[in-house]
Amino acid sequence: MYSLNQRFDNRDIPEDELLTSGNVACAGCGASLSMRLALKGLGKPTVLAVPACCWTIIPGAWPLSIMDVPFFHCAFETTAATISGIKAAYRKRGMDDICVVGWAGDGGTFDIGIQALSGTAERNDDVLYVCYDNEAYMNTGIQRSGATPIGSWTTTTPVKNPKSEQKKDIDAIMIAHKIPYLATATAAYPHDMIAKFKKARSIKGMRFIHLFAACPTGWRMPENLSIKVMRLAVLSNIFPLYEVENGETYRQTVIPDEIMPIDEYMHLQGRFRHLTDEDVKEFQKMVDKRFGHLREDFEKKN
Amino acid sequence: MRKVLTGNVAVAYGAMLADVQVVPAYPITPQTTIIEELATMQAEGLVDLDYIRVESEHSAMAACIGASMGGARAFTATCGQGLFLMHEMLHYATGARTPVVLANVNRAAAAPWTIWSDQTDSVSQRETGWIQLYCEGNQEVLDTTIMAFKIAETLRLPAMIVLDAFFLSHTSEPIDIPDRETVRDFLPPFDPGDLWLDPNNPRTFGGITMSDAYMEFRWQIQRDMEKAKGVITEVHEEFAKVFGRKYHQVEAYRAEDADVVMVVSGTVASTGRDAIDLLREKGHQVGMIKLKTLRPFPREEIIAVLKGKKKVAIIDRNFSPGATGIWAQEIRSALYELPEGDRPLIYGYIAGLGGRDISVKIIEGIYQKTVKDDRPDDVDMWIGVNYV
Amino acid sequence: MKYTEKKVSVPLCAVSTTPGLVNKTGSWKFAEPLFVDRISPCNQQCPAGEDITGYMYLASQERFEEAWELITEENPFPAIMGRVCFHTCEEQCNRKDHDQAVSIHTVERFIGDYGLSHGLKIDVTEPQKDKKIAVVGAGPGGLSAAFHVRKRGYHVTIFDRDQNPGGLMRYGIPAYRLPKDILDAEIGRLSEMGIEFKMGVTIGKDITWDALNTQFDAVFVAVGAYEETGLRIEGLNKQGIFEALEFLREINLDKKSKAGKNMAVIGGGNSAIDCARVSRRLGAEVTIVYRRGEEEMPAHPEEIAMAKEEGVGFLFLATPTEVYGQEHITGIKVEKMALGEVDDSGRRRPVPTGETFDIDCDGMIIAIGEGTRVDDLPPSVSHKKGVVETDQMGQTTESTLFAGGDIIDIPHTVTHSIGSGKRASIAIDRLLEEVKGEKKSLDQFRWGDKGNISVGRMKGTTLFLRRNPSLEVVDYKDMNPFYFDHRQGMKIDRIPTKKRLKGFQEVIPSPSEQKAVSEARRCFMCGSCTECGNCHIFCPESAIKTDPGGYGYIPDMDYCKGCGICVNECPRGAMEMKFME
Repeated sequence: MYSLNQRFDNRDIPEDELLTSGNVACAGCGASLSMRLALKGLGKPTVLAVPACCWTIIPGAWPLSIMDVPFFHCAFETTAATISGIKAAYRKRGMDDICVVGWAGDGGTFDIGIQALSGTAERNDDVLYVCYDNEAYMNTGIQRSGATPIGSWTTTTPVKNPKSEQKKDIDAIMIAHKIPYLATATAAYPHDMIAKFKKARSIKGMRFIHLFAACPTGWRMPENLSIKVMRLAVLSNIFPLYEVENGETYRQTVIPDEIMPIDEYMHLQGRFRHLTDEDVKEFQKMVDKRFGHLREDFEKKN
Repeated sequence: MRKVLTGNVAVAYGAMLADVQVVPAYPITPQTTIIEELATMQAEGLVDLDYIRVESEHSAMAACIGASMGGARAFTATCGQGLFLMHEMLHYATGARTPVVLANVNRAAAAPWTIWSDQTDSVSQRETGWIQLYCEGNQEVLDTTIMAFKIAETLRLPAMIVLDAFFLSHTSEPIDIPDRETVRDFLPPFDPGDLWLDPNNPRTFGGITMSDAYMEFRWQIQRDMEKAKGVITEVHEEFAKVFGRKYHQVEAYRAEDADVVMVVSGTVASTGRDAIDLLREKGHQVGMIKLKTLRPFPREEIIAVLKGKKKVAIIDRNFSPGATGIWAQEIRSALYELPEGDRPLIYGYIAGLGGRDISVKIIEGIYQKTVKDDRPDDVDMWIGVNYV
Repeated sequence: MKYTEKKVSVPLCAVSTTPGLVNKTGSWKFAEPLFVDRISPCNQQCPAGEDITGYMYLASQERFEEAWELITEENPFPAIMGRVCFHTCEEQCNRKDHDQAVSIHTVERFIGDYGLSHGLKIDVTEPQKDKKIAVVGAGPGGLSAAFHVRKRGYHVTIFDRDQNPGGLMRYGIPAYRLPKDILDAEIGRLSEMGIEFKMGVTIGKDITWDALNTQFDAVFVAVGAYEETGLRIEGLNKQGIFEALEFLREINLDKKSKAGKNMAVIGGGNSAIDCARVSRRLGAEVTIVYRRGEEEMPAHPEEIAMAKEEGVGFLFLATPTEVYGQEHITGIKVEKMALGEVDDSGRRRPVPTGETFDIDCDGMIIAIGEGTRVDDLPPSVSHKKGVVETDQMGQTTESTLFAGGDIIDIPHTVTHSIGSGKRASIAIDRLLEEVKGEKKSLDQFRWGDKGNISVGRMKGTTLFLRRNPSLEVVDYKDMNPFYFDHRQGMKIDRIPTKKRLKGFQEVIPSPSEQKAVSEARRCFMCGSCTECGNCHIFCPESAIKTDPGGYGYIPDMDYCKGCGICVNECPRGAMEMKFME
């Protein structure tokens, strides 16, 4: 029985589960859900390399693993280089159909791993790099990363001195590499996300998917709000969903019916609790400005 | 086929003959010509390899590990700073049990900047779990490169070929290039067994390990390093059988009846032989051993040669600040187990850092000092330092 | 042993060997999700107790026959309902807070018409019982009671003083709202079920109430309210003055109308509107005279709107005080009213101002409300000013006598009457089957605390509402409206006014299948699991699994960590978190 009146038809979502229950992520983890949905989009054969991040823990400690695809734990800053190597091996061994995926957190991508990432992107190696961005070093206990938004509390940016810099625009950096495919996605929009993974799989060369993944523990919010907050990030243009091909063709894939102010998004999260209304207004301007640039790209480069 | 090749080109030939499949490479003087040569070989179709022009040595080793996990034979080359940058990944390769092969051209450490030779880079990787194979000449370089793959893949431990900057890397020698098919018989394609990222057998590699299992994994590395001594000897022997050239982890030269034995590694061995011959002509009871492996450390073979000698003079082209040269440390600790009467006096010398020449005259001088001094100094003696 | 020959218990490198499923991470939780089938506000609102959500769902799937069966489980007349019910369900529709309420009656009408055009029948599947029921009054309440007791296997006889069954549906509602062929066809199905109709029989005259009581095991009375509430003014004995029901009855009997050319209709209810619109069709100019304002009119807003379209004039805040004319009415004197305090009905009370003026007219219809004729009631029954005293289920003070429709204390609508007939049928069955226990226990089968009892819920055959059924009614704020896009509802077509005034053609044409389906697909299906799959898709633990039993999903408590995302993302409010002990 299925209702035909819903915005998304979940029957479109592949049934196959390439991981099982029993993950050891925190309750309500956006990152663990992101993997589940990403693998639904990718299907088999897929091979993963994952550096130090929450996903080091999530599949279970040795000798356990919830994964139904080969999964290699690599060093923190080496995700991109590692997948370049794995892909080269498969190519040499006549197994070029395997989708080799790097799956790293924001710290491993925006910060420590950006050099290798840039190298792999510049070489246009035939790999898919996924950054699941929960906006801080969550696995080590919520420290500021280059992906942490301005104003946010973390354990290294306490409320008396919250983060004073804006989030690094990793997407712009990756777009500048002119890679064949870049997409932003979030598990709150599973259809959009899965479509992007399917598309990424079909493209040759370097692909980069930036996932926005809520972290109830680090964002200081109830676990049941994960999807809601991810959705609000999209609806308020904090995390617009789009894709860019070859660094030049832009397409916004989810256009909100109505753009929401960032207030509700901010207020739901304890990491922003110390902010004043003026702060939020200031950040709203930043969000508007950044989206304004993107909108120009959506309009002019398509 | 005989060709005049530099040490670096000899490495490239070795890698080519080993049919390496993936070469992630990053340039650094004086290693660069290895990867240049491989790039040329690939472009000319001499070798069917996937060349990844990575953005750093760290990524080079990461990609090697990835490639090895993908079931391919992976190789890269570096030196000095590059090897230092790789350090983290050297450990990783061992722990992941990926039989990556690396050629390291010994280059001294910065700062200050220098490109000249010493062993500080490779000896600094002593604890990473890599097999280290030091070479004396370009023929040995080529032969060792081929053997390194066999040793590494047999043990599933990574291996490093070590050659001196410029003395070998940029110096040409006529060398025999083995026949390709014969090499293929000697070194079959890499068989990763079931320890690779097989899409049909999905497993997770390297997941977080608790203290109830970590030691068991590390113990196996130690066990296999211990086994490596035998494996290296077997590979040396098999190589000798096929190609007619015999190598040793510990090679003694006129040491049998010597009172004083000099201990050297790398190119110093060639100069050393000349010095020993000269001293013998003058009537000195002196011999030499050339060490090929720092890891695994050939303790038993060294004891066998040095047991009962009066004095041992160790020339280290490296040093550990605050302690002594690395080879000296190793030999001291190996010989300590000998009973007092059989235990020689050990003299440590630091020489040739940053590419400074270790000439026959210097080796003679070291011998003279060893003979003259009743007891070794508390610390290593630094040779040729210009004090004011 | 040399240590190179020793072995350890782990593989060469840390390669996984054991499925992660051994981690029963469900042990972490302190709250667990529960699928709870809640009640939609429309279902609660429906006086007949229909499963609106259920048939909306079926219609959205183009499963019209099943939809028809679902409606007729509760209400025998979907085609009539789709036309004459004032669809207060739509006023409660959660979709009104989203964009626009679903046009439920349009869908119901389509399903009803589908049933007629496809000759769908009611099967009496229950075994024949030997007890006999008499139903007095063949209006909607009586027909409903007869229908439901017949379905339970009883022998039923309906008595009515008129020649044809239908009561007010036949004699009160004009054909432009309810064509006679529709009425006949839907009532015809009841005869086919084996219900016996004895028409032209007045109980209390032709047969005594006592005789009826003796012959039958139970009696249901729904004789309707036909007594026009009196207008206490001078001159009501003149010609050209009618009471609403009498006026409508004559028209419905196709008798020649005595309506004038210039009519005043007194009152603000649906009867007043009917009279006014009928008069317009007879060629009269019409003014409705109502003592309060438009806001306070009890008539349905859509009816008022259509009356206006048809050229009916309105005179608000006015009440007649005197009728002019000799033998025949020539005009009335009206007094201007003002609005005072709010009265018991929740509306502002009209207050006389003393200021009067005259209007000309040659006819007047009084449509200010109807009461029971006490003479129509069984003499033994207890009543207050004609309103028969019953319990919630329609049982009177006499145990075998039941009452429903306009003679009991419920709003005077067709739908309420039908609902009362259904309730009484359940009570009759309980009486005759000698079911013990409090009638209160039936409350669990209501559509919410305020809703009617559902036969489907009693039988457990509702489309939804099978798992952890709750009486809670789902509010818009309990839902996750993000999952519903904004889609304006259908525009309801009406035939042009000119065409309307030429006769009694149905004003609202039958909706197309495409329109009905499209409208049904706007239904949120509040409170019901439609297997949309959100809970399953959004579970970070892959712990919400398809129910092997075939319906919906079940949480795998071995792995559910109790995050509550599924509950939050359920579009319909059909889940809740339960704290664990």
